[in-house]
Amino acid sequence: MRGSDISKGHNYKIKDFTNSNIAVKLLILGFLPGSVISLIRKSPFGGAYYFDVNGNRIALRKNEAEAIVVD
Amino acid sequence: MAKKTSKYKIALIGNPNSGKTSLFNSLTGMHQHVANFPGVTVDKKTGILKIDKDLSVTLIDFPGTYSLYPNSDDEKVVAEILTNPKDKDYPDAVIYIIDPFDFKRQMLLLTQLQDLGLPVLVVLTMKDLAIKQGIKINIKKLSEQIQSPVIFFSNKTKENIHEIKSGIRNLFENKSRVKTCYSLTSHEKDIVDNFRDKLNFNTDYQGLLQIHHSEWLKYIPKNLKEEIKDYKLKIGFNDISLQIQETLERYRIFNKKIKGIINFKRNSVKAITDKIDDIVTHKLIGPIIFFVLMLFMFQAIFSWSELPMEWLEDGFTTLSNYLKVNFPQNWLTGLLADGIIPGLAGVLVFIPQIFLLFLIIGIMEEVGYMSRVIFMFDDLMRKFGMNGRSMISLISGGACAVPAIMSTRTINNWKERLITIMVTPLVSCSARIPVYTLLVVFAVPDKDIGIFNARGLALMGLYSMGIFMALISSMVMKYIIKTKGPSYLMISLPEYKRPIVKNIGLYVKEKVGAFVFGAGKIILMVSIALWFLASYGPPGAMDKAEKQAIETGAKRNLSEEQTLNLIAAEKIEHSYIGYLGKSIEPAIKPLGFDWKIGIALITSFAAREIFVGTMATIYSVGSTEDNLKVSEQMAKDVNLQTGEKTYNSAVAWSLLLFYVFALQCMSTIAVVRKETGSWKWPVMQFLYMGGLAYFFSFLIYNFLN
Repeated sequence: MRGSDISKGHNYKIKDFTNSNIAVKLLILGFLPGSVISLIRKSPFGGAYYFDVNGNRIALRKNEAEAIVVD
Repeated sequence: MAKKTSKYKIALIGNPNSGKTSLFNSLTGMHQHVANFPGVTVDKKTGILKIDKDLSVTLIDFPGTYSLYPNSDDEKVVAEILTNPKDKDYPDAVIYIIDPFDFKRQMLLLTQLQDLGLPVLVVLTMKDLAIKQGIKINIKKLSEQIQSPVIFFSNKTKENIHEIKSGIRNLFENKSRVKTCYSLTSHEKDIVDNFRDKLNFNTDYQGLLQIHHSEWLKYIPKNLKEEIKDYKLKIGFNDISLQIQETLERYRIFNKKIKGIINFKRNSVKAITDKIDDIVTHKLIGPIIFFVLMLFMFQAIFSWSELPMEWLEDGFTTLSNYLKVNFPQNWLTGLLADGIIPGLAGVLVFIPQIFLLFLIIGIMEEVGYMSRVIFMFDDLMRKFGMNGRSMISLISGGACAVPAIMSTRTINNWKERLITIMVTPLVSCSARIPVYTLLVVFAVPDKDIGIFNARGLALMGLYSMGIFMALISSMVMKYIIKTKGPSYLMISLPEYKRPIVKNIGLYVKEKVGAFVFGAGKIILMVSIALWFLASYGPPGAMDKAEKQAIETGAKRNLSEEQTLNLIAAEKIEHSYIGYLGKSIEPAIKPLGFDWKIGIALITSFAAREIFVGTMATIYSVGSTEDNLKVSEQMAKDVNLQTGEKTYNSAVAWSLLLFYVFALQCMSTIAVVRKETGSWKWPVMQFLYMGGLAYFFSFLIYNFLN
């Protein structure tokens, strides 16, 4: 499953990334393999995702969330 | 080491929103100096911190950054300086600021800084808030594990500021080197060794970063860039995968080190930030709140500033009249009373409005609301070829396009950034407010439509027109500008915090100061030049005009006052500036503008608000009466040939639309040139905005006439 598919209110674990150009930036922001990720909400127009990653709040675009493989 | 001068440079470094600027303000107070980092328009704030009686240090506030692998131009400045020991801003030590709510992630940059060989003092901020929210940190153990002194600090209470000072002193006194966190792989070591003699670095990690970033680092000569590039290809040095590998390795090492040192049990009740965000970033309520906030902001700017603006206006009028009455009638009094004072008054009067605008924007930034705005509107702005971060620039554009254009540096995609730069000046800035308020009087009668004031509605309409045109233009440019490149949102949404008054105060002071002194200097020069050009003319021309006016007056049997007005008007028409205005009259006549307006268009190219100052100068030079305000003097101005009023509503609307769209601002052009690195973009911007202005002014003038 991808980061863009996760449903609100559930915890997932990050397994891997599909795009190394995005991955390298996500790593810097604390998205690591093994991190717990949950979706808080989507943006009003649906194109951005508000995530909680290990207790940090971070917003990603849809294609950025798609690069995250979760479990 | 007893030195009174501040020969030590200390860099303040931290992630964006880590509380870095707050700490900088706490440490340096009002003794700050703002300049640019060399070659870029990134703000460089410096301040002196007195440690004790024989040691002072220079603190440099660096742009917030997540790592030494930069994502934006702002972050590149940090990497550019910190990888180059020869840079004149290369620090002797670093104060690394950590937001305790987000501790782990910020360890990454800390270990990178340590691997550069820089002594680091770690300051954990927001102590009060962190303790309240249930964060437990073993400071002593943390300090041992990361091999750097750690201080837990609160910008609110500032109770242990002396610990920071002694911490800085200790950095210089005990020079024990930190054990390297990340050891280069043999692959990386090989390339560093290969360029050891050609590059200049303190540690191998610094060398590695130079090689990673060699393509864009300014201090690496071009031939060396080529050489590094070729070598990278030869040995198969893959920047991205090596960076991933390094990042993961760092996380692995420090996660082990700091295990159990920080305990953050979020209180079982939902954190305040989450509660606020449930409402503020809500699908429906979020955008409504934003819209209401914006309405409130502009309402506040207009209504709250009315009274202080009147005081300022009256004050300047009184001053000018006092000079005229009490001082000898010579050129100096004339220059002061008719040139400098009205010119300056035209600008200084807007301080209340600019103050309020920056105050509100400052608060929104300080509490953490702005990043929510970026999150909410990113996808919408992308439809217009921009980026969520463009929102901040467009909003700031309501204050002044210059800082707004500088703020586009956080937009990492060049095309989105360029479009934002190109359209931001279409958002009506505070410099247009004086022009609008002056002209709207002539365009719209002072009556109410429903519960709204007609003039207020007209102003609202002008603002909306600017915003609307900015969106249309960006949409068009989205299809015209052809550059590709990665674009990211990836934004951290920080904990909401109560604004610290001092921080906002300093922010507002800095922005208002920049406006007053930046614009003030130009305006002073322009008003002196104007006064001269309006008071003098080609030899004999003004005398001749005066004689003729007296004759005409006698012939037509005009009263003494009418004759004097005629003389004044004829004289200014035959002054240097009269000729200048007349020479452009044919070009602006289709828009309904006469040569007097022509003069103001020319001078207000320096800055829009000069329009008002120019009008004040022209009309106080051209009028026999002293105590009338500009608008009253303009209202009295009649076309001497036709006898009609010069400022009817068609002319006023035409001028208003001209100012909505035209790029009448030297500073904007200068900053666009600087930010885009070529004259191409400011020239295109000037032309397209000028074209819009001419087109709409022409349309409305001919429609209303």
